[in-house]
Amino acid sequence: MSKRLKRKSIAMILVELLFVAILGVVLYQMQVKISANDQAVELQKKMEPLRDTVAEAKKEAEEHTGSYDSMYQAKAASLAYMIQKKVDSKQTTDTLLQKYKDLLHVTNALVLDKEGTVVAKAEKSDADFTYARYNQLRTVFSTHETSEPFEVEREGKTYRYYGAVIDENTMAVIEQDPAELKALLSDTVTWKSMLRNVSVGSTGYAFALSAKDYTFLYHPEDDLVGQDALDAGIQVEALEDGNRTWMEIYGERYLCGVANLDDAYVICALPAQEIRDSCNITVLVVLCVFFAVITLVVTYAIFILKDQEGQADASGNTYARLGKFYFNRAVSAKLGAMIAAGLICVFVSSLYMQELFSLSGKSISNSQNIEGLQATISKYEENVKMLEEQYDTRYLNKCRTAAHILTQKPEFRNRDELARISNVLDVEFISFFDATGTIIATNSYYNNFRLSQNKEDQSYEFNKLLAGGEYLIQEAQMDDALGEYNQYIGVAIRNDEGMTEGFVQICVNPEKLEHALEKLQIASVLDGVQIGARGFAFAINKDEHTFAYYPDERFIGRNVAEYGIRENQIHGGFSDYLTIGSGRYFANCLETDQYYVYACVPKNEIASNKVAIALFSTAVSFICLLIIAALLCINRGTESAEPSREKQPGSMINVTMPDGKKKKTMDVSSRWSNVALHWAEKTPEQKMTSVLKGLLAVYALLICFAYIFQMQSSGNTSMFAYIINGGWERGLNVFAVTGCIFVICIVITLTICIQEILRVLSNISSAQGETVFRLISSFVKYASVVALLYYCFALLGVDTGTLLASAGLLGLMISLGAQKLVSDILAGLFIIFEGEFRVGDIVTIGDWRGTVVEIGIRTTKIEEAGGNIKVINNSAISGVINMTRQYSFAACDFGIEYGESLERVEYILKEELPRMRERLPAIMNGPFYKGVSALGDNSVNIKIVAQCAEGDRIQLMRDLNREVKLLFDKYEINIPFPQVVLNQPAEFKKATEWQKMQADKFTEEQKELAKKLEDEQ
Amino acid sequence: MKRKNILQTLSMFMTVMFLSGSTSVYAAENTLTVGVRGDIMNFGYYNETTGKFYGMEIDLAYELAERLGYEKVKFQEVQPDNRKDMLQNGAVDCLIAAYSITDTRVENFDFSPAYYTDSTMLMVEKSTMIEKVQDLKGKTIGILTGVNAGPILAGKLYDMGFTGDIVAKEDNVYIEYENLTIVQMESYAEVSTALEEGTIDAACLDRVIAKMYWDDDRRFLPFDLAEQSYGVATQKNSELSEKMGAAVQELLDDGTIEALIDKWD
Repeated sequence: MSKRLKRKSIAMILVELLFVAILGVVLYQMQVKISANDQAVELQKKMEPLRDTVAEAKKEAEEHTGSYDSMYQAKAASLAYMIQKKVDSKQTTDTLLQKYKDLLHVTNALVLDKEGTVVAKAEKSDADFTYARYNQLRTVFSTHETSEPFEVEREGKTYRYYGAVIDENTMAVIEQDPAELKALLSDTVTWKSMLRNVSVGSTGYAFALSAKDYTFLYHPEDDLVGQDALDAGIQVEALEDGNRTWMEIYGERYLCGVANLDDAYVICALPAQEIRDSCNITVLVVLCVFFAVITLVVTYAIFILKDQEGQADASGNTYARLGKFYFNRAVSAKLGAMIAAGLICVFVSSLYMQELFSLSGKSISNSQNIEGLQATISKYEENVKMLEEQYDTRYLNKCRTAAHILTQKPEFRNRDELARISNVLDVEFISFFDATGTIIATNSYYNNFRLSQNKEDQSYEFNKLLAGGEYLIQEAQMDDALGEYNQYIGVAIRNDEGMTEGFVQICVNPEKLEHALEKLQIASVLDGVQIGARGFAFAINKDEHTFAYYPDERFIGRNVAEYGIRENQIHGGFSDYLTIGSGRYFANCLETDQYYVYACVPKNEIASNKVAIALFSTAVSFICLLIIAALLCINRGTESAEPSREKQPGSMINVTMPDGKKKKTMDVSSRWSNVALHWAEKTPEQKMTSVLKGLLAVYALLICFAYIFQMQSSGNTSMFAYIINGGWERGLNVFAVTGCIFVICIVITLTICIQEILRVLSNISSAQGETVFRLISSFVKYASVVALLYYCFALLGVDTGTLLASAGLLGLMISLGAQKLVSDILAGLFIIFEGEFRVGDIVTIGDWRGTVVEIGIRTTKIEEAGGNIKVINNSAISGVINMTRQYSFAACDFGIEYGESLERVEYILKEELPRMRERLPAIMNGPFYKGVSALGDNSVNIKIVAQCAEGDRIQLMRDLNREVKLLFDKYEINIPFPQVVLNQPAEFKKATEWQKMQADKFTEEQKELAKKLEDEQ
Repeated sequence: MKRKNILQTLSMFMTVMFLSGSTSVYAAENTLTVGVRGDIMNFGYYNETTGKFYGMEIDLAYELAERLGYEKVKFQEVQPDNRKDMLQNGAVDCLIAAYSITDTRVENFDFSPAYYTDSTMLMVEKSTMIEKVQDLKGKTIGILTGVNAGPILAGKLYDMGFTGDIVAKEDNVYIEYENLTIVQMESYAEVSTALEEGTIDAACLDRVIAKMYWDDDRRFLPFDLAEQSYGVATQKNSELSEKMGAAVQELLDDGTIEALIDKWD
């Protein structure tokens, strides 16, 4: 290598590193910026539905509170009614109120006068009802309705107050601890219940801050609730409605979207780490690819330049002159192709990484979403139970109150009074049945009703009450008689002896319960779920495979197959693309008791501008490569190093390819030897291939290490872990491809390691041992390839069981008739795998000698010297003689007369052979005199050999013959031939002493020189 | 020779230490001590966990200190009933503590131009059914000790004609007028609790503070009590007064104060 080239090489490597650094920085910036932008847009979209969620939760809270209040208002009213009607006694005493308190299940019952003085009480209340604070209660005197509820907090305890008027001067007041209500509200309408299911990216979350005092109202970490947010590092100026900004929360950076809802700020926070993480690896991988490409380009160019230096024919057409500079055409043409291929690699890898990252990110966040949903669903199931129980208790209490009144006041058992009581109790109607099950009094539409004795009938159940049951709460159902959805509750009435006297039955319209329960259906659970910016959740019924819930109502109840969801996509743990109607979504599935719940995001939402990023990185790489290529191709002057004809003896030879191009190929004898090629002997292409192999090996090792490292670390949310854990769908998708790459890298690394160990072992063992080790080595190779294929097919979703079965089927087919074809194909594969010969090799198959033009899957084409092509079936190829050697040799025998002085001839040969070589350029080495090959019948035969390329051998033999004939003529050496001689004894010239001496020396020399060129004889 | 070098270096080092030490002493002198509130969210609020103050007035104090060339700001929490004394005896250099500019105060202190205008609000529980000021006849109003809103309110109600003269009075506890009692309380929290429990029927608070204690069960009465302007108070005729006034004016002119108010709104 010339100094100049060395300098250039070093400079180029520096430039290369510089470009890699530049590309890394630029790509990273761009990627972070774009993903941050993407995420910000997504955040904004996420904030919108939050407002609705909050509004809905508010509504729900109002409904819960409303139903709770109406129940207690009814209680207050019934309390007032009982006192007013003097149901139990004429005197309103504390004892009476205590009784009512227990009957009505309230915290405290009081009777107050207009000013607020306590007339009677069940428990002592520390409230001073004379304060204006309790004016709300006094409104009953003017409205004659139950008062609107209000809440007072005293000494840390909260009470809700309900008032109902008794007479002009007194009112009944219920003081209730609303713990039950608060519990219900905390499950449905707290910030926690609203924000718990909001997912932001895969590790982000939503939290709420009080706008009044900047404390956390909700944070996923419970400890933080109530902590000061400003203390946590949140800047006040960032807290503006609709703001999107970076925030620092406890030292960690987040990308945040802010919404001001009422007196709270809701913030969706996405950790910067998450954005960076995904960018890091994407950029790293793209950079690795770019590094590989640029390294190959640079090294290849340097190798070519070096090669050119060594060749004499660095002639004019290699360079184009551009002013002061020279443009190396040969190099540029080769680099152009490489750059194009490299750019495609960069583009594809960029796309691939982005797809991989966005998908794995989505998949992780989807599964987290779904887990959240599962928690919610089970929570809701609990809530349904709780709510039903609550309502049952409420209704039962009403029924008991009615029973109490009707027991105490039998005279109230008439239609008008029952109507009044049902109004007070806020029920549809009340019926009184006697011991025989006949209706005695009711305010309903039907009189003269008897309990049915038919088990099928709705009323049959109430016979239990007559048989000794205390109460009965029937499930709400369609009323047989009225055609309405009603619920019946009955309480038995006993006389003093404990005998059943009859029962009181109330009918309620469970509208409120129904409404409340409706909120807890799967639909309402999934309704508010927001996944990504435009993602959603839906559920499939397990048994029928119909949509149990879908955002578009028309879908609900329809079979999923109608909308393109396939059977194999309906199972827990599914994680892949699926088609619903005309849309394509990335979905994850979770199996619950009744449903398959899916979280899905539209396909186009996943890294929407990945093509842009990929194009950008390709463009930047293109510019870098272009500059590098320009630097490599342009020289100040043409390379004019000393042309060295001196070729290193090596195992590379020139062959002519079918299209006429000259290429180098490896000598046939070195192909199967374990000895690696000497670096200097390699062609630039081979050197480049070695560099590529080296790079790939390094990358494979890196991936291997990363894999092993990741296996040990328990981090569960990273993309890496996701791919390794294999929670993705088997099929042709980006995860499976990545999984395959991992597996391939690992297996290849391991295989190479094992092979290397075996090679070392074989080097130090005996010849027999070496054979064994080579066998093991090749077995390892084939076994790993088969295992790899099998495993990768499995990852890619090919049913490997079927594959094996079909292999059996294939065997059958072979035995049936395709035998010939299959053996051809197999033979072809083995020719390629084992490398018996390559395209361009000169081989003899049978008696056919020629150049290999094509190795097909079934046939091989060989061109003979005359241009004829023989097509041989691969299976028929046997006994191949591969003559693609570094040097062949042409050997010629010549006869001289017995009378001729051998020494003289040898002396002449010594003088003439070098001249012969000059005349015949095909000779690479020699010609050599090999001595006397035979003392023939008529002549002394001497042998001359010359080294040449196999392609030139035949012609060279003819030329040698010609040369020798001319030489013999010149020196009057006779070549004996059968002739009739009358008598003319030939006079042979004698060798001089000098000639004799020289001849001996020459023979010895020649023997030594041509030792290796041993012909058959 | 070497030892001598070391000694020289050492002595130089000491000198530097001393010099830097003396600058820090100088810095201590160059500290602005500001009296601020610690109980008004968004204005002057003391965070017990971090031991830091924050709020609009705190930011304002930092801004003013910077403009006036102070290197450090030290905050001293003041209460409505002690802030006057603290300024007078020099415990603080100035008050930026929701301190409204009134005639009586102007006699004792110098005030900067007003940086914030606030109004006083009457807040009641909805369950009291009080909807207008007239409904307050014979009721009890809670107020913070030491604020000037009390006398103004009483005067205003007197003008409206439904209160009379002072009947009974105990300093810093209550003033009983004919048809109206004004109860003075130590802290805002106490006022709010009293309102919740009903011991007072209405609370008279500055708007910035009332906002903190407002919830869905409470309402403001439509009532126009005098607006109050908060200014930075400094000792009468002190050197600082003029500079402070100019600085506040400058902040007002360049919109800094507006930005601060917006930030903490």
